[in-house]
Amino acid sequence: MTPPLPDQLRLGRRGLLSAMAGGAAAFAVQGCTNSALDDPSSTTSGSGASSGGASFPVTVEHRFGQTTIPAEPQRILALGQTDCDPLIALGITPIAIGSFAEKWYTPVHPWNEHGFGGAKPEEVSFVEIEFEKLAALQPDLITMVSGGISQGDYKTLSKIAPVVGPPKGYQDSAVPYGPHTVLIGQTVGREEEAKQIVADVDAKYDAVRQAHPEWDGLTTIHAESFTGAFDVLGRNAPRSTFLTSVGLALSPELDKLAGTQYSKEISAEQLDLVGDLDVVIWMTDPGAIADLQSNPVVSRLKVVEDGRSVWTTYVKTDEFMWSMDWNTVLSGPYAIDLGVPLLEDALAGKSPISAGND
Amino acid sequence: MTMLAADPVTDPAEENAAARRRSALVAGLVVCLAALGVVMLLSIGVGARNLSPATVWDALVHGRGGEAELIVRHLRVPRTAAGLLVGAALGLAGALMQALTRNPLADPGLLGVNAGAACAVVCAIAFLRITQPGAYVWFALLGAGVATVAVYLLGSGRGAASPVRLVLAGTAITAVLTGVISAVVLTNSIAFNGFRSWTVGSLQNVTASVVVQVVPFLAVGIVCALASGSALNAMALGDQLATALGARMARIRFLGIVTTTLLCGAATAVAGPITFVGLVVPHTVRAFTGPDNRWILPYSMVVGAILVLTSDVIGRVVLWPSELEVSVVTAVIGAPVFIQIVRRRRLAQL
Repeated sequence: MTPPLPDQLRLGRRGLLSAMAGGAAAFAVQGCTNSALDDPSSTTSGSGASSGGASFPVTVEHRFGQTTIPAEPQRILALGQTDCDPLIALGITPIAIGSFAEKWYTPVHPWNEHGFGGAKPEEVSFVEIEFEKLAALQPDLITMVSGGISQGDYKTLSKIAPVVGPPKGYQDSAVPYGPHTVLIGQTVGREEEAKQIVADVDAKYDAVRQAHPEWDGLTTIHAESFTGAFDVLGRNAPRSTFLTSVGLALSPELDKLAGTQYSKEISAEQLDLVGDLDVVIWMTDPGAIADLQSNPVVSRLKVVEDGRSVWTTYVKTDEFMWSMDWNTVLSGPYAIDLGVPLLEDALAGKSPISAGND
Repeated sequence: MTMLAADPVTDPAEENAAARRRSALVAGLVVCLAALGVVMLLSIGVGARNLSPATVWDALVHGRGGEAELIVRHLRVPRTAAGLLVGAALGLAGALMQALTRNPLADPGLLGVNAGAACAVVCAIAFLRITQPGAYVWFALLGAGVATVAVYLLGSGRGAASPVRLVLAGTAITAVLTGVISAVVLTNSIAFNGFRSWTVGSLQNVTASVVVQVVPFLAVGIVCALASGSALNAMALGDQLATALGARMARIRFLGIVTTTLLCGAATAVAGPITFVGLVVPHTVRAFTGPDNRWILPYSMVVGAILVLTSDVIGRVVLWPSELEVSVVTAVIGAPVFIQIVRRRRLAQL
């Protein structure tokens, strides 16, 4: 549920905003990936909405307070980066969806394109919110559940339509698919259906763990290299939760370094902490996999020499990277289908490159 | 050719004082070189990984493979070489620029060199999808060169380029380029990312191949800069007097600007923009050497290298095991030193 270069962006333009917005919420919630059902932080009140039937008005709680949706929404603007996925899973097509709105990026992927019925959805920027454009779309609900807006933007948006922010207690771009889907389900009056969808995805991850008991306890990390600098992802980053959901364990040393930060820059001198792991997923700029593999330091790491690495980029056709990164109820099963063979190949020393990087 | 050489010194007392002064300056330079040696050893010995001095020495001299060799030979040695070259180049470029513009506050960035390099790198990232720092080098050099030519042409106008006109042209070009950089970066998040990491000014991820690429540029720049001391001394007398003494002002100025571009462009290409070194080093040095450019230049070169390498080592230690970028440290330790000098001494006039 993250932008591809999220840490840098978050520190940059979006970052100031989300840092201010998320100030209070920027604390850690750990290991919630598969436990949406017992998540206590989102509750539904209102006239009997908990039955799962559509009985409005519905009131939902989120980071910025409570929002009441007076009637079943017909024109939903899914502004949060991955908010369209739970809606599509519930059979709802949003009128417009959030996007970086730049050429290198697409919010339409194989796992959610059926939701748009072959048409190209209207994309609106969540990086710089264009309020007038959003108002002109005449939404009756705006979702920003995957996070990334400030309190101020929330207030402004609320003048256009009811707005639902991220669930309480989760960092921006690190809302696990459970709370993400359940909150959106509550918002559209379909909480029970949403919980069932989440349970089905949980079961798919369980199945992977059962099929691969040998992965239990193997150490891993998601390592990134952009313009020569290196970083590792923290435990709450969606791509990290994918790895732990399929039964792998994050490197204890690197987990200690990165903690609950989305990602943490590390010195090239510390790369042997990455090199000593059992399997590593690398991410770099599109077209730069060969450069990363031949980097004088990276190429000498044991996990690279032995081929126990999976190579990805944020090119929009790298569906494995994006499906892990979105980590929604729709993209998760897709990530399992693509990722399990890649992890198997890596553990067999085949140094696989994720498809779509030609 | 210069007035200094032609100046007949007859008084034995004066001759003695001059000799004493010269030996003090030589001794000072030797001390600086020794300090540089110490800092270089520290730069190879200290880092995010704790390695004992014996291990470092063994890895440096014998190789022996493994983690220690990887860290010492492939990370710390290129990084130290880069710091040495970048510091020397920036120190020299600053001294050169202050002499050329007869402005004690001149900085190598004054003629648009940094802005030109940065603009070219941004465009390379945004439009050509260049992601490897090794490839930035050429764009940075090209951008620095183009910006300098533009500044020189604008500054020349009718008649010869005067220092004031050059500085004005440099300011104008820098403003334009900064606008272009903002426009590209704000509309392209990929460029924003790549540029953000480049623009910080860091030696952390310098590789040997990048260093090797810029060595020829820096070598030419350093030789030209060191050879220009006497000519710059003549220039310090003012255009008319210097011309009367036979100095060819337009040529000196042109060569000086080309040299600055080479030094600054190459240094910026390696490490990204590192400000302050070019301003503070020649200034500090001048307080000790006096106004003779034949001494200011070599001193600035050595002290610049010391400042950059020391800053880099400090940056590795203060947040250990994380690192602080060299440009940040340079500014933080350079600024108080600079203020102290400005307050305590009468500024050495140019």
